[in-house]
Amino acid sequence: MRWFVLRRLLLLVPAALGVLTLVFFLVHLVPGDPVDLMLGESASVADREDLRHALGLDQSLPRQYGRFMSGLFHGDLGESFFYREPVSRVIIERYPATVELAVLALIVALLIALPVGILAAARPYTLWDNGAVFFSLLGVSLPNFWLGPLLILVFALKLSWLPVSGREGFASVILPALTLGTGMAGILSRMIRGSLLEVMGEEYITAARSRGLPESVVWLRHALKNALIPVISLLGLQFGALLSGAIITEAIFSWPGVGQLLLSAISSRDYPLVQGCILVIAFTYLGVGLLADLLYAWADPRIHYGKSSA
Amino acid sequence: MAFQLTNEKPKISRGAGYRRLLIAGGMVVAVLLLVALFAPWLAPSDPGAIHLESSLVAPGPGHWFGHDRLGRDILSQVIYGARVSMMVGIVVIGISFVLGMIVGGAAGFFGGILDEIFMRVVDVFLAFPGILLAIALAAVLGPSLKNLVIALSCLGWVGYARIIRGQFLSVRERGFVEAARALGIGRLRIGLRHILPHCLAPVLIQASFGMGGVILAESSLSFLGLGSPNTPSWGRVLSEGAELMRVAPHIAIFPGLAIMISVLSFNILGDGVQGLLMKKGDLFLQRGSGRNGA
Repeated sequence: MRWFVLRRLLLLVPAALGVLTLVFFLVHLVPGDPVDLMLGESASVADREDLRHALGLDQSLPRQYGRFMSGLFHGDLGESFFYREPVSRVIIERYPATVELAVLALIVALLIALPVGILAAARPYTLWDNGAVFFSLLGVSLPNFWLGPLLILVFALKLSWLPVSGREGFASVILPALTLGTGMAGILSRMIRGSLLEVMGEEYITAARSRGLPESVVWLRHALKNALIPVISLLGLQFGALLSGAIITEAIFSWPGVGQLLLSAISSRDYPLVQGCILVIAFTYLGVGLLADLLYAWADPRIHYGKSSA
Repeated sequence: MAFQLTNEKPKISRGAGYRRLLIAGGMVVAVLLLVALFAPWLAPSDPGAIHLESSLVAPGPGHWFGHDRLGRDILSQVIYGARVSMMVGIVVIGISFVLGMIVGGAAGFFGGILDEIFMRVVDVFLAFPGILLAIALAAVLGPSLKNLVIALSCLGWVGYARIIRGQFLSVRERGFVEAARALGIGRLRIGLRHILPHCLAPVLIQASFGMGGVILAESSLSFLGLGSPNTPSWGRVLSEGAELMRVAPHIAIFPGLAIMISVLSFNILGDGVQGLLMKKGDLFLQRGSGRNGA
């Protein structure tokens, strides 16, 4: 296990460095001058040169890259053009809202996917199963930028049960979490179904049945517990879809998270903020992926990550 | 809650089920392609024609999907939107496939340091969740259809490259490749004539699911205002409609339905193709969701 953790951490290093490099070049090779954006095109040449010097934009690209990397290691993501504040401070204010939305969407996804997946596996290759498979396909095919406005129309505008947008109280997170969680529910239900069907063919299930255990105990205590282990791994992978989906969902519901901040930074061409938001989202994804892998290795006692296998 | 394993025979056999999926998905996809192809003849009016006097008109006879804020016909915009979605989908899948074939094929065939470099590059691309990289690229390149295609292709090639690399790695060790080598056939010819055809089944499955993913990603980017502002894409129309949900929900409902039906039909088609070609495993899950792009 120790070797597995070490190997997994080591593998993270080139990916993280690659992400940083790609994002740096993506933002620094953008056509247009950030100084124009900050001062406007009517500013004097001297003012422009001063600001260019202050931002380090008069230096060569490799030197700027070096400054960028050393700044990052000191927690410095630069200063937002629009907010005139350190990017890290602006993002930290919004980050909890994104995490809250993602976690609640995950809970919604599990609440939908568990019964659907179990039902499909309990009646394999029947109409119930086909219905569940269709539901999973429908879930991944529903655009969240369509589902969101539809939910607003029904539950906020017509029925007035829930607020249209914003982040005030638990009621305000229900519609965004439903919007974001539905797509993931589709994928998870299918995974749970497949995993359960596989586990039900295992010998220990036959042994449990032969001991006369009730079917509900066999399913819930023996099958489901083991079937959910591979789902942990999938959760890590799908968290990326959740994070990128959160960008759109936050925009629809005016949810004050990092996704909405990214979109407003894009429209105001606030490149340090765009860069910071992308990095934070990408690193959250990398971190959750790592956590899911570690949890998976910890939860499955059959996996032995010895030195040789690492 | 009690669960009982049924002893009944499956009511629907797997093979028949997959064939039904293939037919159902294929028929809707064919209709979508025909609509895209014959859009100028099928659309009742010019999708960009402004009629301010009929602003926000609700659906009814003569204007079945209603009109938008500027009085443009929604049905015509949805029909032309099919053209944009299908075109972007086909071009992005095509570019992704060619790039993936070159990079993945070279990595899988030559192995060694080339493969190592490839895997590290793939790790970097996979470190970006979903369409985040495409959003970033489209944002810095500026809103246009060409830039949207570039952004989505930059995201899409990775999936094809991984599949083709994996296939190359497994097929290059098989007996018939060794026999071809023994016969003195050149490496390039072995790669193209003997190994590449074995990659086509998983690539075809990836392409079927990928089309749905690209349509969804293109609509998402257009919804966010990162597509062409002058093209009647489903995402852009929906974006306008979402703002007018209270007074004119029809503007958002119809393009949203079009996106859902097309993505769903490509996913069903992909499921059918996968079931018939693979008949085992669940590539859908290994591949992740269609939401993640090509």
